[in-house]
Amino acid sequence: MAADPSGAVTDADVKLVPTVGVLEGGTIQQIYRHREEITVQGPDTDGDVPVTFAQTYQNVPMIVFKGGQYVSFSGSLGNGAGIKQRLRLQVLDPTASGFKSRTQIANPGAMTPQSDDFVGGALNGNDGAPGVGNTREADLNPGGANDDTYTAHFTVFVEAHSAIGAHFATLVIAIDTNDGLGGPWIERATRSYNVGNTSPGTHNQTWSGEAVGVTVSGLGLNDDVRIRIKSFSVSGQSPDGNYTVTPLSPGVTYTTAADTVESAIPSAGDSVTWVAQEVS
Amino acid sequence: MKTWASDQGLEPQSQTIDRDAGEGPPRCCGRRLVAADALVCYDELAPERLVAVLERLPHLKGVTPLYLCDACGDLIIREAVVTREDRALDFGLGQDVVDKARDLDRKTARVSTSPS
Repeated sequence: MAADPSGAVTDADVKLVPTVGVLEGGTIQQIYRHREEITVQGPDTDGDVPVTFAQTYQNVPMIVFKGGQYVSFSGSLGNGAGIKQRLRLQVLDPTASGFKSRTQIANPGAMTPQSDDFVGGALNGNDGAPGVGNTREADLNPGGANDDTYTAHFTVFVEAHSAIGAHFATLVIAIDTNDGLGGPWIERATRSYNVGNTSPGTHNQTWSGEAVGVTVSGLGLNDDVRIRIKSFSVSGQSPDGNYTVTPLSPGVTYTTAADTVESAIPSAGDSVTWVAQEVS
Repeated sequence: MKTWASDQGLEPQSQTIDRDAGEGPPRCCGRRLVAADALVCYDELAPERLVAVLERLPHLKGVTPLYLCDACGDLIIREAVVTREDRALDFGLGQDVVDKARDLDRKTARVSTSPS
């Protein structure tokens, strides 16, 4: 394969652009890096089982549910006409090194919607002043989501430009949490946003109403969720670029309730399988 | 807890450390980009617990000062190499933090993984 002046590896109509992805036609496909399959086996008394990945990923990977054999109904949680039991198949406390596999049956109490806003306005940056490390934080009040899930809401705009040729811009946003145990922030999710083209011009895209959910145990009153600019880069031929990340209102949404919960993998032979995969 | 950001007086504290570019403390793992306020110094951990950490992460023997990123710090908690409560006590954190840490400490796992 040849490489053009922007560093892109070219082959007919498909281009591999370092740090950006595979460009085919006008579509940028992010690059698959690594994946692994994880099987969590019962018995487990509460259904929350810690998992460590075979290797540490660069970012928190996507973790998807593949299947398994698990309990889907429990008579001890009640079986009256008004009772609707829920299965909770959740990626709990995700990081780049692992997570907790949550496999539970829940009988939720009456759920109360909660929301807390990010403080401060939009986050802006460009190739000259990339604003990497800038954040917007939301203090949780009351916190304590009944399913431990908190969803961050924001809108992303990314633009790249070149008057003479290829131009690409890549913005990576992290969602971090802080459980109040002395200060360390933990990256819980990342999202990558790419725009660009191999021809001169300006290309941009807006991702409206992004909703990134993170499931994290132990977050309570005054604990924090933040949006962080993890990286911003431009590449190509004399390229420039910029971005805007606008927190929405409500900024972080979740529900509170008094739940009754049981393990959904209480016996030997019960299991649940996940697939972790990172793209970039 | 002491972080790379607080120890170096960085602003913003959450700025990204590019470890491939040689930024930050001696690296704990292969991750390239880590937030400065997610790099926690573990030098104050009790000696017996530091030994346990280095048995789990043997590639870090001899690394000083010892900073762990959020992924590695979570790994030793997740695998109960160190409990949150012990870490909080060793780091001299307040009783409210110690109490909350104790509440969050959980159990260990029965798991098999296979790269595919």
